Formats: sequence, structure tokens, C-alpha cells
Amino acid sequence: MMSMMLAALALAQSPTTFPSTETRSESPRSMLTEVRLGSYYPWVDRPLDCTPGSCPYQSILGGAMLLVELEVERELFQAFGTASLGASLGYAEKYGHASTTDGSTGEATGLRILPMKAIASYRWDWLAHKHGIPLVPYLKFGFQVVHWWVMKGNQTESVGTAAGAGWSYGLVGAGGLSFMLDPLDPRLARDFDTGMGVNHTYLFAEFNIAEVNNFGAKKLNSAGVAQPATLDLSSRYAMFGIAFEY
Amino acid sequence: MSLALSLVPLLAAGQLGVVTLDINQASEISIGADDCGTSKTGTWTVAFTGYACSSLSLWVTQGDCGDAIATGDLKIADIAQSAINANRSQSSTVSIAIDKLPAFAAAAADGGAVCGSAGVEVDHKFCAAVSVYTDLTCFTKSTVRATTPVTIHYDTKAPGAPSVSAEALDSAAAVTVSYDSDTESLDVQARIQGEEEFVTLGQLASPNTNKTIDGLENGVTYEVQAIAYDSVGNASEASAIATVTPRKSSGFWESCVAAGCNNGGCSTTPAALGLATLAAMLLLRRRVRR
Repeated sequence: MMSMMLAALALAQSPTTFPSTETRSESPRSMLTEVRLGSYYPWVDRPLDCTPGSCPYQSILGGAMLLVELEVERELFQAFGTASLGASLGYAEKYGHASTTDGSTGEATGLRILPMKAIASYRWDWLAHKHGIPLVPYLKFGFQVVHWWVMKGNQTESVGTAAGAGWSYGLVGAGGLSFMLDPLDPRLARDFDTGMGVNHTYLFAEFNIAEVNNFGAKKLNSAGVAQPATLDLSSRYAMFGIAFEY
Repeated sequence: MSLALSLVPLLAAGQLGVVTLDINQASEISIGADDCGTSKTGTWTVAFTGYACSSLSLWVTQGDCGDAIATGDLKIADIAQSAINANRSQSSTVSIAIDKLPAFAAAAADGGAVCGSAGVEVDHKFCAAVSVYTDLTCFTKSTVRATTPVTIHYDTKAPGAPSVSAEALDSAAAVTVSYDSDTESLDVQARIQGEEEFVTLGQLASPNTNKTIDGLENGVTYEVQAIAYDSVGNASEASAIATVTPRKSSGFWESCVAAGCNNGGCSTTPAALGLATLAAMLLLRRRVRR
């Protein structure tokens, strides 16, 4: 992050700084598409009645998932920054081994998730557009629905009548910093806009806060004990990606 | 004379005509014991700009085709020179008796294997050749051979026995098979230990090596074997038997439920809400303030 800022300052002070929108004739921009990757460790074990080391996610699946997401935003306000509404779709999976009373077997079992978000975002790109400083901080807030299902072998696992598949929903937020790539090669950036209509290209890093547990809803089991109503897919995680504004 | 000499370079094979062959529209066929006593229909096609200076000779040999039928080869047909020249682009069919293929004729003479004998694997070539020239003087002839002779692969040799290993799963078994390159498919069979008959529970096609057998009973020992088949359908010896006893295992969901997980009742409400929101985003057409 520090190197990103230093690079931005150097570019801002150099004689070849990115031309402002006042001198550069660019095509209208109204959309933004992001592709991002990140290491996502769902807090499935958090609300469960288990001791550390024996909790199901930790003991069977063990580690973080590689989460891949595609997000599309519609820009609604472009004055002092850009405000947008958008939607995203992602996918991640994590596999481990099923277990028996005398240890784990070679049979694969895994959790697959399909997160879907509705997002409102605000990007403070005023500095980039007016003063050529190619750093764009941003905030996002939204609602997330995650379809999840559990595999065992090549089938969705069930326990009695409880299918290992369901939905979790909740709120998500993210804060990040985008680095506008255009100043690195202004001519290529102009050509990208002229030829493809892509005004700006960014690399970005963001930190996500997700509370996806049906707002903490509980369900009573047959013994009258309150249990989480669904898988807790909350987490705190970083994502990295590339964005195209067009 | 000077004209003839000037034409010599043009007499290279392929420039005055083409002969093509196929059997059942293929350039290679595989046959087995079941084909003994039957015939295959071969098709020859000629397309000449020059003229035939000999009959079109069709034969089957065990070695390379060469330019003419050789001792021991099976003569299939001689299409008369006049018939070829009467129509220099034509096609017709001939019959090839499998029983009379050269390998069996030689073997029979020696008192050896005949068509249908087990353990035989031999290739034959269906060949054709004809002499051609630019005109009917046939002053200097060249030989046009079939562009691609058809390979007749006779095979009654069974593939090697495969080997099998089986891993216990929950109410299932993961079977891994290894086999030789001659194998085209396999039957995976199982029986409860102590029973007589194996039951085929699945097929594998090369190059796959893994098969999961579902529907087994935990705690019961099963014996698993495989039989390999080559492209002709020759069956191998059965593999050595592998034993496997499926056993109950807990996947992530079962462990999770034991610790208190629920699936939210599989309510479609949040899904519908989420999807409706996404759809609303995509349908948004509000103009952007510039």
C-alpha cells in the first residue's frame, strides 16, 4: 500500500502526469466492472458448540478458500467522486477428507459457496480526475446472499432429512484503494478509450467485512437448544483485483 | 520422339491419376473371430487425367503393398484396362473374404492357425496399383498405387489382464484399474465375499482408470475384479480380486450438524430477495449525470 502511494506521488509530481479530464477528451463513463480474488476463511465454526481443534470447518476443511468474484456497477453520480450501484457474483470451494471413527478416509468432502451481492459504492476519484493523482479510495456497502452446499463424494451430503445445502444472508462492507494505471502509459490509455470505450483501468486492494449469518438468527433443536439457523459465512478478508471503468 | 522425351518429367506418379481405397469408408478396420466366414466390402475409386496401361490390380498382402501382387498375396480383382479407360473417373466395390486372408492361407498350409484361432494378431493391407500414361500409346508407363492402403487388423489376441485396487467409501467403493495399451474398455464387477457370481456394476472406457461403485452396504466385504476388452471385443482374463469393505464416514455436513449447523430450512426467500435486487440493478436505466 505504501509503495502504491509513493508511486502515485511520484507520478503526480512528474512532468508527464496524467492529463486531467479538462484537457483530455474522453468518452462518457457509466459502468465499472471488477474481477477480484482473495483468500476467504468463513467463520462457520464461530457460533458452533465445539472446542477449538475439533470444530468442523477447522478440522475437516482446514483453511481459507480462494474466492473469485465478478462485479458490475452502474455509476449514478459523477461530481465530487463517483457513486454507484452494482451487483456481484462469486464462487469458492474448499475440500477436505471425510472422517471415520478411526481417522480420515480418502473420500472427499467440501463446502462450495456462491456469493451474490447488491452493492452501493462511493469512489473518491476527484483527485485522479482533477489533479492527476492516480489513487482512488473507495467504500462499499451492501447486502449479500450466499448459496452454499456441501459435497461428499460426488453428491450433496445429507444427514437424515437435512440436506447439506442452504442460504445465508447478511450485510457486507469494504474499504479499498485503487491505483489508476492510465498514467503509466497515457497513450495506451487513450487508445483503450478510443478503441474499446474503457476510460480508466485500476488495480485495487480492499478489505472486506462480511456478517453473513441471517443476522444471527437461531433455531431450536429437538432438545430445545438454540443453534445457528444457517452456516455463518461471516469473515474479514482482503481482496485484490482489476477494474475497468467505461 | 522429342515430344515423348519432353513429356517424361510429367510422368511422375500422382500426376496422371489417383487411386483411393476404403473398407466401410474407413482406412483401417479391426476384425476378430466373429468375422471369420464373412466378407468385407472394399471400395476402389479412380480419377485419371491419363490413361490406364494395365488392368487395375487389387490385392491383400501381409507386408508392404509394392507395385504389384506378390506370391502369397490374396488377389481380390483385376479391373480390365479397357473398363478403366472407358470411364476414367469411376468407383466400384469388391468383396474380401476374411477366411482367405494371406496369414490364414499360409498358416493353413503349414497346419497352423486358421481364421478364428485364438491368440492371433496380424495386419494386412488392401492394395491397388495400375500403370498409366498420358495417352494410349503407353510409351512410358508409371505406376499409380492406392494413396492410402487400407489396414485390416485381425485380432483374436486378448488384452492383458488388468489390475484392480479398491478403496472403501461410505456405502461405495472407489475402484482404480490399470491396464495395457491394447485395452479399449473394461467391465468392473463385484460380488459379496463368499458368493459365486460376479455382477457387472459399471463400464470404463480407455483412458479412464477410476470408477465409483455406489449402492454398497457398509460393513459388508465385497470382492472386485475387472475384465478388459480390446477394440475387437476380445476379453482378457479377469484381474486379480481386490476386496473392500465400505464403512460409514462423516463428511463436513454431518460433522457440522453434530456441532449445531442448520441449513436455514432451505428458504427461498433470501434467494429471491437477492436475485430480485440483482435484477433491479441490471435493469436500472437512470441517466448518468455528466
